[in-house]
Amino acid sequence: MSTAASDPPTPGVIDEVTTAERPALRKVLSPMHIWALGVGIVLVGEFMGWNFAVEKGGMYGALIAAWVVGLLYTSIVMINSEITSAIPAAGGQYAQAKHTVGPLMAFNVGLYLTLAYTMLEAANANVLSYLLTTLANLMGSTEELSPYPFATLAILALAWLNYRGVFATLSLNFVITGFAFLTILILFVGTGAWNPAGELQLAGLVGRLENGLPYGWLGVIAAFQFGMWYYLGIEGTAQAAEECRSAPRSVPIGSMAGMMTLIIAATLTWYICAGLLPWQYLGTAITPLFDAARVTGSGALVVLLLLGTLCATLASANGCINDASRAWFSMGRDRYLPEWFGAVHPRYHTPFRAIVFLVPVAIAFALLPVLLNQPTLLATVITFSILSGLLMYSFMGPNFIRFRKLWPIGSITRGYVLPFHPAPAIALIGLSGTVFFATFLGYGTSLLSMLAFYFLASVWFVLRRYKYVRRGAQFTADLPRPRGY
Amino acid sequence: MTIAGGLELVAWILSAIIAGWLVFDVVRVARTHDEHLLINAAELIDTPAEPRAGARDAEGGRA
Repeated sequence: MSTAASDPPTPGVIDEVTTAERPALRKVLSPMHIWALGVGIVLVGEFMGWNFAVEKGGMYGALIAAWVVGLLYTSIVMINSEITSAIPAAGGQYAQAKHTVGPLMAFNVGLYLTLAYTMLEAANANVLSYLLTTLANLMGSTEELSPYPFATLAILALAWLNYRGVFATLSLNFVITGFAFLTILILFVGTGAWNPAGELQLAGLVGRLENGLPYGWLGVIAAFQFGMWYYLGIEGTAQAAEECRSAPRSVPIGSMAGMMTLIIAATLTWYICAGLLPWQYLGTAITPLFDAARVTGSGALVVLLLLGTLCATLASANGCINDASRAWFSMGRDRYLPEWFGAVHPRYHTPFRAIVFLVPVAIAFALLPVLLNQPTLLATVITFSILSGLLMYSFMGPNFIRFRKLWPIGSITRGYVLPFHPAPAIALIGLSGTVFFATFLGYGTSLLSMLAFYFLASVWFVLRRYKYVRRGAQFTADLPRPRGY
Repeated sequence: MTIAGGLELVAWILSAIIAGWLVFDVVRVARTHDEHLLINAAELIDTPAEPRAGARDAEGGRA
């Protein structure tokens, strides 16, 4: 093996770390990038996915789900902001679990994070060819594009971008996420949605309760699992904490601005779609906002909303690669996985091996539903992603209560202090339980299969991997050690 | 060849180029840099626990 420390610098790679210092993740991100990461991963849920809540609970059911689940995610974002401002480490919730609970919990949380984001990335890549075919049809083509090359290219191109640096990656995410959000606002303005005499037809919702709640309150609870689509992934902002110029400032500002953006986007999306599309159609539509634009008959709105859907899909996949790789990398450097994954690129300062390793995994999950001609497999992939996220949320409430016990107010410096403790943590625990119940109603078998998978993974970790974990080096935060740690 | 076929071919070629570049760079970095310096593991800030017998054997076996 060569030793870079003794070799002369190679021409052309002068910015590559060639001294004996270890390359580290580069601290270059600002609140804008944190917003772009959080909203970028999520906003695709406004363009597709949320509307299945309408099928479960009707129009009002979907709106209640949007706001109640919004409360769950607001709790998550506030909790995340406080802990991340004190423990600003790549891996986010994984690093939190490592400090507050222990290695087995941390391993599970790291695995939830990696799989949730990798599968979401795969689902995004999978729908890309459908969107490109729709775009080609709008341009007059009658041909159908194969999903294989475009899904593969999207994953590889975004992985390449992530490989080359986090600043460019999240700057791009800011632009395409901002554009996608803008298209929702333009659709709102374009349909004159504030005007009672305008294009929106909300009269069907008024009157009898069955118009908006066809399946009653049980339907509303069943809608919660798809209400998660409005916000699923915003907690990923914590993954970028180690790369912020000032994590105690950037993470709370970026995350909470992101949450506000998403609540506005969710409400506008519901309002526009409720006024333009019949609920029976909306409940099964693939691209509801794009379909709403088509109903307006405006060519410009149709093209804009399709481009918005495309940008939201790419932004989501891009953010997912960023977050999944940070979780995998963090587990590698702590020896929860082979240490090889814990390497940082000497020139680009990114977790390059984790990024490259997850590429074939994402491509496999994106293409398997097409290869095996099993479209329902895509739903399983998405469900696995949602359930992994849900498992993590059920950890975050108790985790925060423990965090406050280990480091009470006044014992450490915090960039953000969660108000009304322990109300948000208790709300998060209660809402997570409700969404678990809702998910069990729709995907009971998938939920049990997934729990079995994580149980087996835990057994593997305890028997085969735990012996490599340096227990004395787990406490990496700049915090006083609690008694008995 | 149809336009769709041409686009798909371009997508495959670009994918192959990117995949090749990624693999090449991963290998290049591994060959030109000290592995211990690349790993971003936390420094030990207290005395590590004595590895168990199994772990010691495994590490010894690998060495």
